[in-house]
Amino acid sequence: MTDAAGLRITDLTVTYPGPRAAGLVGRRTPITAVDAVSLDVAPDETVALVGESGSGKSTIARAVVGLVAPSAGSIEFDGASLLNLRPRDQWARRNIAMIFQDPRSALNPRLSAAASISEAWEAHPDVAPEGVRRDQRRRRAAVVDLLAQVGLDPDVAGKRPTALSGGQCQRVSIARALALSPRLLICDEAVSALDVSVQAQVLKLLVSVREARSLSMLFITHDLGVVRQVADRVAVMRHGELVESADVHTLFTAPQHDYTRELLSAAVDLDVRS
Amino acid sequence: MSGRVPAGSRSAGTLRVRELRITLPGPRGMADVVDGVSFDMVEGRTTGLIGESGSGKSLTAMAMVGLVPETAVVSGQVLLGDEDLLTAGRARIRQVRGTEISVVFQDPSTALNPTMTIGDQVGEILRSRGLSRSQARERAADLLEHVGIPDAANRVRAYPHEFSGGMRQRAMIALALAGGPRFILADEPTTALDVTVQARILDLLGRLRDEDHLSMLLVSHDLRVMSHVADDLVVMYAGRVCERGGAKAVLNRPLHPYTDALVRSVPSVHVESAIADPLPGSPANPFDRPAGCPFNPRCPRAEDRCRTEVPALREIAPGRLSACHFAELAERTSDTVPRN
Ligand SMILES: Nc1ncnc2c1ncn2[C@@H]1O[C@H](COP(=O)(O)OP(=O)(O)OP(=O)(O)O)[C@@H](O)[C@H]1O
Ligand SMILES: Nc1ncnc2c1ncn2[C@@H]1O[C@H](COP(=O)(O)OP(=O)(O)OP(=O)(O)O)[C@@H](O)[C@H]1O
Ligand code: SF4
Ligand SMILES: [Mg+2]
Ligand SMILES: [Mg+2]
Repeated sequence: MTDAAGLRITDLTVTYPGPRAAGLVGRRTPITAVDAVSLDVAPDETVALVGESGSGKSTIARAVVGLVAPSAGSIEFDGASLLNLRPRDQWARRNIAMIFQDPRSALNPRLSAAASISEAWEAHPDVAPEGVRRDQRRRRAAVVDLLAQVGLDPDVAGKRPTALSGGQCQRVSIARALALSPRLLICDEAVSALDVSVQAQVLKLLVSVREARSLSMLFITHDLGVVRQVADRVAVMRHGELVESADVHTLFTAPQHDYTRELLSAAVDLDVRS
Repeated sequence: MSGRVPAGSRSAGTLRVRELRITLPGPRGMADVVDGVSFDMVEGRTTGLIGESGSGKSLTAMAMVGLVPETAVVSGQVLLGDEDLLTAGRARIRQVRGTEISVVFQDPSTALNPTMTIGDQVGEILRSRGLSRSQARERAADLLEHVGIPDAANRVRAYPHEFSGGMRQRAMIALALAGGPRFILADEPTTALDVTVQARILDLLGRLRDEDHLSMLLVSHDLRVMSHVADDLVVMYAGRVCERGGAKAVLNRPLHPYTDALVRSVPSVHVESAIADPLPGSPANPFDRPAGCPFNPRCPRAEDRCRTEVPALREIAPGRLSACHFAELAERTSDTVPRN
C-alpha cells in the first residue's frame, strides 16, 4: 500500500450556497469554490498551495479536516477515505492537524494558551506525551517546551487570545497543532503574522518536525519567498481550479501557466535602492 | 494636561505620536508594554511600522484611536493638529475614528460584524456621511469593486464568514475607506492577499496618498512590500522604537543590529535562498525587559555597557535615529554591508 501513503485528493469539488439575491428569501446563486481539484501530498513532502485570494485554498483544507462536505470527489489519507466518516471512524482524522488562517478566531477565546494546547492531549490521549494527563507539573513543562519551540515566553501560557498579539496567537495555534503529533499537517497562512526572524525559527521547526516524523505538509500561503524556501512541489490555484503544479525549482524558473507567470511577476523582492 | 500644544508647532496635516506609553498588568505587576514611542505620520506619506511579533505595534496603532484593553493605562500624546486625542474624551474619539482616522484591523474576522452583510456594513458608514439608502448601496458595491472583490454587486449581500480570508481583508479596507479619512492605520492589511491583488490595493492606497494626501501607517511584516511603499520607517523591539528614518535608507543600511537581522532574514522570491538563521535566544518579552539594551541577550555586537546602560534613541545622521550604543560607529565605518 505504499503508493497510497499520504494525502490523496481526487477530483474534489466543493459548492457553497452563495449570497441571496435579495433579503432573507431571495434565490441563491451557488458558488463553486473548488472545481475538480486533484492533489497528492506524500509522506515527508511539503506541497505549497498558492494562488488567487478566494480561489478555494482554505476550502480544500476545510474539506480535508471535515469542516465542509464536498459535492464530488474523494479524499484519502493512507489509503482510507476521509469522507462520510461514521462517528466511530473519526479516529481516521486523528493523524491530521490544521493551523487555521485566522489564528485568533480559531482559538477558543475562553481558554488560556496552555489550556488550548493541552486540550489536544485530553481529546487524543494516545498522542499525549508520557504522564502529562495526570501530572500537572509535567503538563506545564510540556506546554512551556512547545511554546519555547515557537519562540513564545512561558508568560504566554496563562494568557487568553485577547491578551495576545496576532503573531502570538498564530504561534499558539502552531504549538497546538504540533502537540497532536500529526502525520499530515495543514498550514493555512500559518506564518503570515510573524516577523521574518521568528518566521525563520518557525519554518525551521516545521521542516525539522516534518523530517523527524515523515510528515506530509500542505502549506497554503501567499508568500512566494517562503514557498521557495520550504516547498518540494507547488500547486497554483485560480477560480477554484488547479492551473499548474510543478516541483518548486521548475515552477519558479520555468512557469507554464499565464497566471503563474503573472503571480511571479507581481511578486517583489526587497528594494533598497534610493 | 491641557491637550493643547503651543500654536507654533501646530500642523493640521500631521498626526504626531509623542512618548506613547501603554502600561498593562502582567504576571509580575504593571509593565510598560509600549514604552515611550514617538513618530510622525506626515500628510501624503506612508509610514511603515515593523518589528518583532509581540513588540507592541498593534497596541500602539490602536491606542492612537483610543482602542486599548480596559486594563491599560495610557500616557503621552497623540496629536491631531493641536488636539491631543488621548485626552479628547470618548465622544470626540468616536467621531474622529472612522472619519478622520480609519483603522484596518489586523484581524478582520473579529473586527467585522458577523451578523450584518458586508454591503450593509460599508453602507452604514456611508449613510452616516449623509448618503441615501440607495446611494449608499451603490457606493458600497463600488468601493468593494475598487478593492478587488469579484462580482461585488452580488457579493455585497454576503456575510463575513462567506468570504475568504483575503476577501474579508479587502472588505475591511473598503470599510476603512468608506469614512473618507485623512489618516489610515492599516495593521497587516495584506497578509491574506495574493501578490496581484496586493499590488492592486497598494496601488489604490498609493493613489489616495498622492492625490488626496492621505497619510497611512502601514504595520507589516512584509519588508519586501515595505521597501516599495513606505516613505518613512519605524522599527520596534520590545515595546520601544529601536530605529527610525527614511524607509529605503533604513533597509539599505540599518543602524540597529535588530533591523539588520530582520533585513537579512527576508526570504527572496526571485533568487533561491535558504531559511535564515533566526536570532539566538528567545523573542523579547516586553513585560520583562532585561537591564540595559533590551536587545542585548541576542545581539551579536553586545558589550558590557549594553547590559547595564539603556541606549537612548537619538539622531545619528540627518533623519536617521537609532537606539544602539554603537550606532555612530556603525554609521561611520559602514560595517553593515550594503545589499544588492
Ligand atoms: N461559508 C461559505 N459560504 C459561502 N461561500 C464561501 C464560504 N466560504 C468560502 N466561500 C467562498 O468560496 C470561495 C473560496 O474561498 P476560500 O476561503 O477557499 O479561498 P482562499 O483561496 O482560501 O482565499 P484567501 O487566499 O483569500 O484566503 C470564495 O469565493 C468565498 O467567498
Ligand atoms: N489585552 C491585552 N492584555 C495583556 N497583554 C496584551 C494585551 N494585548 C496585547 N498584549 C501584549 O502586549 C504585547 C504587544 O502586543 P501587540 O499586539 O501590540 O504586538 P504586535 O507588535 O502587534 O505583534 P504581532 O506582530 O504579533 O501582531 C504582546 O506581548 C501581547 O502579549
Ligand atoms: S546597544 Fe548593544 S546590545 Fe543593544 S543593539 Fe547596540 S550593540 Fe546590541
Ligand atoms: Mg484562505
Ligand atoms: Mg499586531
